[in-house]
This record gives sequence, C-alpha cells and structure tokens, in this order.
Amino acid sequence: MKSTKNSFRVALIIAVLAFTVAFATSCGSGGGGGQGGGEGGGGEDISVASDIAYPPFEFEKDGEPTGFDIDLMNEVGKRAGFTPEYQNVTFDGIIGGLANNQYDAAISSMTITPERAQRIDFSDPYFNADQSLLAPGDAGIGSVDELGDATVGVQLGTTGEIKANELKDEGTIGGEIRTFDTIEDAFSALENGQIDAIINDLAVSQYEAENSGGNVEIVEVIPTEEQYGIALPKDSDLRQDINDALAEIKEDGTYEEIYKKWIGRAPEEIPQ
Amino acid sequence: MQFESPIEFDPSLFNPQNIRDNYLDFGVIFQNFDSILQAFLVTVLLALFAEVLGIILGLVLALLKISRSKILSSPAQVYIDVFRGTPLLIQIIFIYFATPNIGIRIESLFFAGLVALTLNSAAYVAEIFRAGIQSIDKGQMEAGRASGLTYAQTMRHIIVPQAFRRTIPPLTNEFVMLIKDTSIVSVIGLEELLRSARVLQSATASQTPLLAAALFYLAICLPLIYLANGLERRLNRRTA
Repeated sequence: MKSTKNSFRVALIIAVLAFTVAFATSCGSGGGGGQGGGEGGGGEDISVASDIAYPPFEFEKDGEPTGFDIDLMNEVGKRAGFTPEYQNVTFDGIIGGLANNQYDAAISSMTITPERAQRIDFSDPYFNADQSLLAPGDAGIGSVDELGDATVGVQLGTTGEIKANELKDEGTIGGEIRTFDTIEDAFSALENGQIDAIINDLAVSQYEAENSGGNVEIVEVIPTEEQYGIALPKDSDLRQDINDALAEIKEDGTYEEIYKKWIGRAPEEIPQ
Repeated sequence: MQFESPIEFDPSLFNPQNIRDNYLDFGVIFQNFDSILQAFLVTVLLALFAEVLGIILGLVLALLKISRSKILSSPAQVYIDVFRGTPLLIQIIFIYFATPNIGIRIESLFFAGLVALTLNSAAYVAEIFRAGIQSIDKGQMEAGRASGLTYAQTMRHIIVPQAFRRTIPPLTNEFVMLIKDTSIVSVIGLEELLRSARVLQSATASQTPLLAAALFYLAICLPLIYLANGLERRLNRRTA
C-alpha cells in the first residue's frame, strides 16, 4: 500500500516538473516571450542583443521594445528575411556575447570603433552620432574645460566612457569618472546631484534633457563623428544581407521616416 | 506553442584560442594590478565593517525580538522580515537612488554600500543570534533568576556569552555571504572588486578580469568556509 502511494507521489512530481519545464520553454523561447520582433518579416528567428534602456534608440513601451534601432532592425529583418528576437542585456556584455556566438546580432546604438572591430564585425553605418556633456543648467559647467574636479558619470563600455577616459588622460577631467551599468542609473544620480555631469551619446542625452523638465541640459556637444553600426559575430553570414537591406532602406526614404519619427527632424546627412 | 530547445550544442564553435585570448590573458591583470588590489581592499573593508556593525545591530534586534513585550518585539520582527524578504539589490538601489527624494543625499559611495550591507546583514545576524540564544537551555535563565540576577543580568553574563560561541560558525558563513554580496553594491558605481574588474573588462575587451575577480573572492571566502566547517565540527564534538 505504502509503495503504491509513494510511486504515485513520484509520478505526480515528475508530471508537475515536466509540465513546468514544457511551459517555461514554450514561453521562454526567444528571450522572454513578448519581446519578439512584432513586425518582423518572417523567415528564421535570429537573436538580437540590445540594452533596451536607451531612449529614443531602444526602450520598452507597454512591455515591447521600441525605438529607432528597433524600427530599423525590424525593417532590415523584413527585407533580409529574418525575424529579430530581442534579448535585453547590459551594454558591456554585448561584445563578449557576440564574440562567443551567444547572439546572432546586436543593435544597441553601438559606435563602430577599430578596437571593437577586432573582436566583432559591423554592418555599414546607420547613424551619425556625437558625444555630449549633460549637466544641471545651474551648475556653472558650460563645457568639458570647466569640469575641474567634478565627478563625471558614464555608462560602462560606451564611447562616452572612452571619451571621458581620454579627457582624464589629457588632464581636462580632474575628478572621478563613475561608471554605471545603465544610462538610466547615471541619469538618476545626476538628477539627485550625486554626480556633476554625464558624457554620453548626444541624441540620448538630448532626449533625457527634454524629458527632465528643465533639470538638466546639454551644455556642450562634443563632436566625435562616430557612427553606429549593427554588430555581428566575426564572419557572420548575415552581414551581406543586412548591408543590402540597409542600403535599400536608406535609398527609398524609409530611413528618413524612421529618423524623423524618433529624432524629431530630418537627418542632415544619411550615413553611407 | 512551439517547442524550442533551451540549449543548443554546436561542437564546431569550440574555440580554445578564444578561451585563451579572452579568458586567460593574465597580462592584463598584472598591468593593472594596483587598481585591482585597491578595489579588493575596498571589498574587504566593506565586508569587515558591515559585519562588525551588522553584529552589533543584529544583537540588539535579536534581543528585541525575543522580548516578551510586543512593543519591543514587533518592530524588530517587521525589520527582520523586510530585510530578509526583499532582494539586497533593491535595498541598495533604494538607499542610494531614492533617498534624495526625502532630503537625504548620501555622498560617499562607500558609505552608501556600507549602510545597505549593514542593514541587510543585521537582519540575518539577528536570526542567527535568536536561534543561538533560544538554544541555551531554559534552566539557565531560571537558575540565573533564582540566584538573584535580573533578566538583563542573566542575559548579559550567562546566556549571551554562551550563545555567542555557538553562533560563531553560522556567523562565519554569514560573513562569507556578505563578502560575495558586496559585489551587488557595484550597481551604484562603487569601485569594489567586481566593478573594477568590469571597468577593466570594458577597457581591455578581455574577459580575464572577471575570472581574476572570481579568484580573489575565492581566495578570501574558501579559508573562511573551511574555518566555519572546522569550528562547527569542534563545537559538535564538545556538545555531543
């Protein structure tokens, strides 16, 4: 009697476990269920890493990733014949993840740099960007030359961090450079007065300034002439397809449409 | 519902060269040894201070909790429940990023991390002490009271000293947890061991700093783990 009861219990536990696993895998397929590329173009699913906390390029709205990069990548997928499945990750983990073939691609406002290009490949550039200095309007900081001993916040692994370190090496920044995992954390610290300024991508800091109710503003544009690219593992088969799709998107006016939608004005120049 | 394998295995991706270049490039560590060592020191000091302060606060909480007065025991119970029942990551984010809204601005990152770790570990320490105190035979309290000592005097001179000895192994284990938990504090930007490793990782595009940081944690945690095991064995022998 006792053993039948026990074997029934074991069977029950196994059934529950099996059900849980089946349920978890069916929901979790492709990085968190609801995050699939809503308007992708069918074909095979590819995993696309992005640090989805970087408006207006990538952020979540109603639980779905949205923004400039997301619209662009969905459009690329539609034309190149794949559906992006977005994986929300911290920015500093993206390059390692691509180098280890953890992701098929990444779109995350990532600047094409020679150092990064040693470990991963990039598509043709899709966005002309600059850096910027963000500070409270009343802080008396008008440019990087006036930073003195101020504490400068940056997001870990970004070109903002690289720029800040350059400025520190040449003595323009005399204070501490504080790194944050997400740019949102850096913005919080700035609004709290726990850091004095932030060096970060212009369009993103611009967006923050406009939504801060006048608390912080862009005090200086730091021209770097950097360009964002879609990042890929080395020698990825997708590169040619993505470049062809990008060229088409730039040509037929779709690029300008996406640009206007998210940046609020027409692009001065379409990156080639 | 479609079934998709949660794991894919592709032997053709095996890349020993990448493992060596990215994970075992210890030259990167030696070139930046000073900054890593300094960050390691921050981690150790953070854990030590938080442990000492956590023991003091935890003892107070434990004594309050076992008190028969509801006015004393309820707040302690609520405190312990809140800090044991919520993730440390949320606690540190609240303590650092949210407190300016009520007019408190913590300027020092070290201090912010210390506050979060102390408040958190005090809740765990309180439970360890409570268990320790309650493990002392009731007869001891009765004997103390019968020989004319007050409740407080019996606690202080008879119960707590014995309980403290019994709590040393679990406290040591708690300290090991605390050392590892200091890494969570890196979220506010404090350059402790993990953040320093990640900054170096970002600067050098090498994963080696992360592995090196893990070795540093191991170097300090392992002796403590074995110490706790040894103490436990000795204690068990003596009380058996």
